[in-house]
Amino acid sequence: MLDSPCFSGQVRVEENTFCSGNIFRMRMSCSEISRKADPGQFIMVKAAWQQSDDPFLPRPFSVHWADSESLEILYKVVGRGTRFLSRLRSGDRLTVYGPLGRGFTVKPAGEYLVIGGGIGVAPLLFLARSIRKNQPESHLHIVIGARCSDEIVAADRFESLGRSSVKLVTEDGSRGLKGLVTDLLSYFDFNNNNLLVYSCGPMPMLKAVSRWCRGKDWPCQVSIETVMACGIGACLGCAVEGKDELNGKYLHVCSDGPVFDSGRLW
Amino acid sequence: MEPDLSIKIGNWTLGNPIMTASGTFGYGKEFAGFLEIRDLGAVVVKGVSYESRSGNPPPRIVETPCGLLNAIGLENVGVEKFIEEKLPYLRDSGAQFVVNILADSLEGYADLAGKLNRDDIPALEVNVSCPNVKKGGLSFGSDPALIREISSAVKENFEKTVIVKLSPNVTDIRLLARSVEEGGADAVSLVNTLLGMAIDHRQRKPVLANIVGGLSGPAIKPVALRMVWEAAGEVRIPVIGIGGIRCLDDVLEFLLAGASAVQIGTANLVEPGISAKIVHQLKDYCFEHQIARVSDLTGALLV
Repeated sequence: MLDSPCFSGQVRVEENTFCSGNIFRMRMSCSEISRKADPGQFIMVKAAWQQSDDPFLPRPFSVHWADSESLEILYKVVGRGTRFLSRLRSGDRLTVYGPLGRGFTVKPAGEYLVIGGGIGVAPLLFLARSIRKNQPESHLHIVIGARCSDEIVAADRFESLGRSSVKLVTEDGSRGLKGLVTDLLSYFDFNNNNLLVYSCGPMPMLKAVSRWCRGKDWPCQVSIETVMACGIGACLGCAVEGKDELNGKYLHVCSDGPVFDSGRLW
Repeated sequence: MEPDLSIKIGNWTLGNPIMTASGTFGYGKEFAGFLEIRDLGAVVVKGVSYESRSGNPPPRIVETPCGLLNAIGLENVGVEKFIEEKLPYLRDSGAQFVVNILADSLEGYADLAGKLNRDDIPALEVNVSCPNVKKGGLSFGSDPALIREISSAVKENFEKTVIVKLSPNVTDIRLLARSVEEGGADAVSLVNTLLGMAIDHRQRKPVLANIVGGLSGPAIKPVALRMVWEAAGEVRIPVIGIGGIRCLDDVLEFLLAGASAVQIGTANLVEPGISAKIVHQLKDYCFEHQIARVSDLTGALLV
């Protein structure tokens, strides 16, 4: 829930870059959000011109990168809203609000494992940078999986964080190892009780990662996505089933999440 | 001269006619980062039932052209927890507010109204679009006799302002509005959502887990405007217009159609600060057009 003032208004699109496949990266200037956002938090973006009623609802996008003046989102074109966004150019103005939600909790640990699937890498770059910055002595392992090489994005930026290992896996073998993220995980041999796992990607992958972590007794935080209307806990549209909710059966992704300890979900 | 934006509902005076609609504004606190809720005419909180409700399974919402289809299922914390956890914030905020209530029987509405009959709650809004358990789940909202009984039962058990919120899923809204007035309520608000449906033909499945849902947003505005106009022609109590309002122009249209106040609903989900923004725009508008009292606009449609 929001108590402190939240930015809501128009921002300038600085760059809107085609990455590969259907994936784009947009940088917008908004220091009010970029200086305040934590890794794992998201912003709501109106995916239409300001006066337009269609598409009507804003869309949630996690913060992909933030510096003192600007922030980036990474998005895949899947419908009318994201198609609109993909056509914006530098200098266009966009209506946004945020930052919103509960992000990742980064506690001190010896090793960190960050696992992204497809467009699920979006919140993880910002997270990885924060881990690298705040825990410089730790080991940072990054695993990125996708269906094909076109959907592997941002790998170079993870590499450039330095002092981290980046491993890639694709379902069709067109880049990195062939297989699923979970196949690759079995190659890892962590003999460390001081490991934290973070993941974002398709639900089946997150469930598999969560199961794998539970087997090893490693704490795992996942960022999940749902259809959302308000982003601030008002409409209750983004309900998901929690594993053992006491006060009602549902969790709300926008206000309880989007990042959850995986044990709360599965 | 400063225009007078105040309006009266029964004995209750609001600073301006801009309210927020139930279910789109949480319990007020969710919007604290975006506006000063005391700038609003009144905040209508998420519908409260006697017992807490967990709501419908997901998916609960889907976007449709210029609108939102929802089947949240009246998820709420229940009246005890509302009083304990949500009421203090509203009371201390300095804002005017309305507690929206829902129940599945006439007795249920009466009990809930009695439970909320407290010095620190200025008004109730009765949601009659819920299924009536005793009548096989048929909505209360389409039965004029029952609406009259509910209106008077709530009024008997709650000493201050009572608003009854009508469903548009009826043949003649005028009959229902008249029942609200006959039942003794102080005002009638309309419309709630229009029953609708969305289908994913690729999967041959309904999009919502609940199959059907309530449509809101700009898509329903013409329907709402027509119903407000009809209801305002039928009753003397104030009519509060709801349905797809998202800018000053919309507010003015509803006032002209006969509304004394309006509620901003789905637009809050798109731009959380919109309702306060509209208050300021309305003030500027009245100033520029030398409208001394905003209530002069109510029903001023030239036909």
